[in-house]
Amino acid sequence: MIDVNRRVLPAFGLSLGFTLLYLSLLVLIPLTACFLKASTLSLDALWAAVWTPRARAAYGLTIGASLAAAILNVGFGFIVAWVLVRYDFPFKRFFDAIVDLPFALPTAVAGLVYSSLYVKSGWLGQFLVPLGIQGAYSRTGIVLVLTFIGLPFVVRTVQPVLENVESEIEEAAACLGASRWQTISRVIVPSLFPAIVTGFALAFARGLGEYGSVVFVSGNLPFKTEIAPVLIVASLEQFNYAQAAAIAIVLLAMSFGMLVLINLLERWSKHP
Amino acid sequence: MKAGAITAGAAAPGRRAQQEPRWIQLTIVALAILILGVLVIIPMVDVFYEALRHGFGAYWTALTGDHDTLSAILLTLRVAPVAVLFNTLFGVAAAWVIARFRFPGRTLLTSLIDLPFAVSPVVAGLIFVLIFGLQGYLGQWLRDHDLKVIFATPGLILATSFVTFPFVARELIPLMEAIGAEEEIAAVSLGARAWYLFRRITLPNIKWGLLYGIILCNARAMGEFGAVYVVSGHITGQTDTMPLRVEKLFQEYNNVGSFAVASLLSFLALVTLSIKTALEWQTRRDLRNRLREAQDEPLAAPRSAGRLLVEHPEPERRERGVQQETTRVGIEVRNVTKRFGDFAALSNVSLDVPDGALLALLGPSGSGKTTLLRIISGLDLPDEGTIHYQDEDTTNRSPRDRNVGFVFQHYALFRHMTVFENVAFGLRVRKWPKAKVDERVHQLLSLVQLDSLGKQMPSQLSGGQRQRIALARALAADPQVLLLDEPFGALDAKVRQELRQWLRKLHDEIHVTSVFVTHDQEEAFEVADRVVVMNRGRIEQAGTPSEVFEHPANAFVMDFLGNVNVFHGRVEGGRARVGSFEVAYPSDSPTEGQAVKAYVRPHELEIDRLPRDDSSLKAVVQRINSAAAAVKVELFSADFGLPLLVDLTRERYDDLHLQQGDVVFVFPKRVRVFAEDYQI
Repeated sequence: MIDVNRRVLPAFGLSLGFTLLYLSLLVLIPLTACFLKASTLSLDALWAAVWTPRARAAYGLTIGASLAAAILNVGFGFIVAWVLVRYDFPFKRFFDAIVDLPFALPTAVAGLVYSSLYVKSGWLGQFLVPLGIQGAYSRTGIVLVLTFIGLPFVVRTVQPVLENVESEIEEAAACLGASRWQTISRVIVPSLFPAIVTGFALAFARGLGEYGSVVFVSGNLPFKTEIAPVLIVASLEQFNYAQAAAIAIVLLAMSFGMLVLINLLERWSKHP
Repeated sequence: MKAGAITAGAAAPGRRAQQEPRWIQLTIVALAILILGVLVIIPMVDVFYEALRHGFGAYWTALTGDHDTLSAILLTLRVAPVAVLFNTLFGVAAAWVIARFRFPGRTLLTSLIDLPFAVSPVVAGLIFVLIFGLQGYLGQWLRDHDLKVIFATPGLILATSFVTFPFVARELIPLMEAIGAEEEIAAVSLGARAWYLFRRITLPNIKWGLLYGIILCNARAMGEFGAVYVVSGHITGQTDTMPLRVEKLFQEYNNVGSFAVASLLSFLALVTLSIKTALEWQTRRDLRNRLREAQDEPLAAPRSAGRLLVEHPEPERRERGVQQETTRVGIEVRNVTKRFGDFAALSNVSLDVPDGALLALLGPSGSGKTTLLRIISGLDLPDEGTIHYQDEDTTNRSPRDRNVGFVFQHYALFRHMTVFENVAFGLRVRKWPKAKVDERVHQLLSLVQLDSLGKQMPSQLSGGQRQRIALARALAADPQVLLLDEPFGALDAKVRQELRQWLRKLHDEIHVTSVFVTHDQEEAFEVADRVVVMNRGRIEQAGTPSEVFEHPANAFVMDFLGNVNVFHGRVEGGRARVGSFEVAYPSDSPTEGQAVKAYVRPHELEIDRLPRDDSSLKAVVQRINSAAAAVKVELFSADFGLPLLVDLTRERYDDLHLQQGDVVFVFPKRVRVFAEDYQI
């Protein structure tokens, strides 16, 4: 289709020029610099830099904790979205609004308060620590804070889709003899599935790159509670730029992979 | 709402099939509140509790007594607005490009905007260190020129801008796509230039979404930690932003201090959230209103329309139509071709619109009539061919410079402006003095007989009133040519009827060369001086309404202009023979035995009880519909094996005393046979 508007509406060239210039200067060129820097290492050196035992442990923890948090968020997010769409209860609008708090709250604040809540003297730690649950300075703590960070993603992707599920579909299922549970598990959940997966992927991707909140709650012990972004900072502090860039590329590869996946998922959920 | 009242969702009140047992509902709600409570609410409360647990005095001292904390607050207030400003400019430009234009690489550009969301903040900081740091690509050069980026404010701004890069653009792109370009195109057709267009039309339409994007961008900018952490160098009192200060105080075991700063950031988050919720509600309401208006539910009854009808009995228009034959050409379309990919929307179309005439472009959807109108207006360009307005070649002129008035099917009124301002728009962009604008607008409003509605907003008007305002707006700057795209398409039947007669009357007063597009032949015949019938990108016939109706040029026009009976026959002895009657075949070289079709309109068939001559057909009455001015009789002819439609005058019907099942004889008063073969 030939573009009709370009003839009529003004400032196409100017806007496109500014958009591309700004995008290049701020995003594309700096990201290229990262690849350039890493390419100064030989392949062996690159491998040695990104595949140390300490780095492997960090990748494992980053992926594992993000995955655990994203899985928790699927459950939590579905319940919250369901309640917000289907039921009326007191202060519903308040609860609806605070779902977005993890988007708006600086991650440093989240890390700070989570570390104080789950220590032995904290509000929640006083009950959990005697049970042997260490919610601060532990892997559990990382999963907890990543769950907080990722909570809005599943809720906000599932909520609009659930709102648009036609009531006739459920009534049809009921007329065909399905129990309420069968209707939900066989009719509603499958129709929400693309949205759930998209929300999961978004939460997971966010967890992979998260730094601010995790450094507060993890304790950053190598091999135990050190995540991959912390490793980059450590390399930088030793002025080992090439190694930092190399690890950054591993992280970038993971997040670009997720970005592509999320785009595919969104296309799929629009045209399943 | 009463405390503890839990009911099924408002979305589907009382739908039994959607309800779970009450105890399950209660359990799930409790579970959701528990999740939100533990994950979100308790931490939020704890921030303020920890900050204030040693009393307000200690809190205040922690914030204001610490010089480094104060400087961190000030630094954040310096860095975030700059990053937000840059990203806002970028967001508006990117949204304009992506939502309003199609160009190669558009999808890629859209994905690239999201890129910073996928990059870990630490990596975002790192890339700037790699460029601007001491050992970075520009490090040496920067040091030679005594410039500091990393471990200084510029680095903080860069890292923050990167992290908050997509926010405004992501908010605006879907919003602008949902709003559509109609109002902007209307503004350009009225003569608005770029900056005026943006300030008066685009900005008012996107303002809530824009504000929402800026608020989100700002919250993230002030709270950013990872990226800033990497580029700041943690120089206390110099490059520590608020989140970095939180971390430093935390490392120093200064709990009160770190929670005090954290409480400020939390407060910011809560404010952001409240504004966000309010704005979200606002944008949703705006969009909903817009959708409702697009679907055209008239909010008010068309008040004055009925009166209009009575005031204007049949105008003496045919005389004028004849006059115009001798006057000069208002619009000249020469050999215009337009393709969309492989599809030829217009193939070598030529057309003259007499000066001051009202011409209808009539055709089925997809016939190219709207494309032709848009090319005449300059909203589209032809691939080949030229457009002249009164001997002036306007083919390559923008709509703004053509002095054309365009009335859009869905009105495209500026929703945020009063009726008066809508009409005044084209005059204001032409910098008319205020007094003249007032005078002209009042003149036009009384011309469209809506003078009392000047202060109303478009949403308060009925569909018919809106269309008349759209017309007044198009006429305000005294256009050389008035173009109307299905002007009555969105209105209900009664209002359509009234507006048609009103438009005819209006045109008789103002005599501006006008072209309107319609798919309704009744509308075309009733309103226009000249009718042009289009099909598949070509003009099938052009002429006065009576020419076109009485002498259709071909089978398509015949069929398109109303019900028709089709008889199948053959060429015999150079004449078309259909059953027992024969007609001259209009081709020079008829092939003997070739199949032909004969077309007879329902009112051109007569019914009698007895056969009159050879040309009568025997038929049985199937159904009679006498609930109209003309009585419609459906018959079945066994000889031809086909149903027939006959329109009888009421007098003739009364004479015949027709009953269902009667055997009668039908004979044509007029038969048309067309040379070219055409499939109905």
